Amino acid sequence: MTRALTALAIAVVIATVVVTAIVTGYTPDSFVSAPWAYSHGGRPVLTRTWVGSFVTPAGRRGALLLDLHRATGYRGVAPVSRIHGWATFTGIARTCGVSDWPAEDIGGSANRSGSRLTIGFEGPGVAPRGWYFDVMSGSWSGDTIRAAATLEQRAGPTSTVGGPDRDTRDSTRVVLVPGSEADYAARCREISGR
Amino acid sequence: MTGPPARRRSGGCGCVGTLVTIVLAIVGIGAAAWWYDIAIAAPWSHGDGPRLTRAWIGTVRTPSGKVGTLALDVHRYAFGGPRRFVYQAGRVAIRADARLCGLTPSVDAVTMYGTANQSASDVSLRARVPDRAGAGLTVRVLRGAWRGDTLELATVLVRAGHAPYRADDPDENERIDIMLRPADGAAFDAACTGVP
Repeated sequence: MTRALTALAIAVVIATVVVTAIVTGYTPDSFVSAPWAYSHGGRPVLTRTWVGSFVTPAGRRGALLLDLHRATGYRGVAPVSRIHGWATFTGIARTCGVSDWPAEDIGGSANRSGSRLTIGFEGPGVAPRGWYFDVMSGSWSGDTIRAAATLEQRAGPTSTVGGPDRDTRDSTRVVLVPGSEADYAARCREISGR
Repeated sequence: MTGPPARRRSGGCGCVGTLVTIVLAIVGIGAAAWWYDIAIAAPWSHGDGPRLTRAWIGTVRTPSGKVGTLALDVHRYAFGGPRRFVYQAGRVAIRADARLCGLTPSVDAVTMYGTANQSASDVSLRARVPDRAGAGLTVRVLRGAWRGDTLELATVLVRAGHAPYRADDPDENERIDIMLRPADGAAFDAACTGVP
């Protein structure tokens, strides 16, 4: 019985250590692959909600929300990118002003410091007519994401890039700051004038 | 002449203790997972109050004036279905059995897969089915939010069967908002009675 109690005590200690490491975020992932996903000592993180406004090359005004989460890799997006030293994240994006769709799934990756990142916008599949972000690249530095992307013009199952439309040819730049769904809604109301 | 004395077993094999440890671990992990699901992952699928995981019905009004009825029966799921929907960070996989009448010659039934976030303020559903013979307009994507007593989803209609996309048809190019309310299966049958 003594051996059983010893085994139980060891199991409890190991479980406590593992759970504490997971809850506090002090895992190998937080040091090696994706430090930008963990707020050790209160430092800012990339994986949070961001909002920003933009003006396209053709002068269309819009707002963008990104809600980013670290990819875990469990039956989903792999936690490490095919780019050596980069780690992945997933999330959703909301865009108003240039398109009329509630949200779309996104996936992306960033290098260890977050100084370089890319975000792919999945699009709604079948889309209301409008302009949608396709692939965005940029950088993260604490409380700011600076990024740029060309837009795709979508309608139903079709999508168009390039061509005479400046918005599908030239980059739209956006600066995102930490925010919330309410911040995003306020920016959209301001853009629509409602 | 006597043989060597039998060796006394001092501590047993520890099988009972090991078994108790394993059972306690399984119970503990199960309880933690259950708590996590209720409190964090998918509170919208538990309790006696409003839930996302139930039957819904709503009217589809297209920009050109056509009217149909959409019924959704929303469930959680963990296995099967398109792999990419099973797990996305911060989201839980859902499945919806969708039925649509009024916009197609007969009831269009399809299984849609997707995800919902923690508060179900973002609900995503897609049907990944090959084109089938048929006519009329149907629903293949839905996205919106659960508000407790209502499920507010947007869609763009697509032409059923192999009919080509029409760029000049507003029904295939404009967003349609659908307000779904709790219902049972009979509500869809009643709404679709006499409707093609």
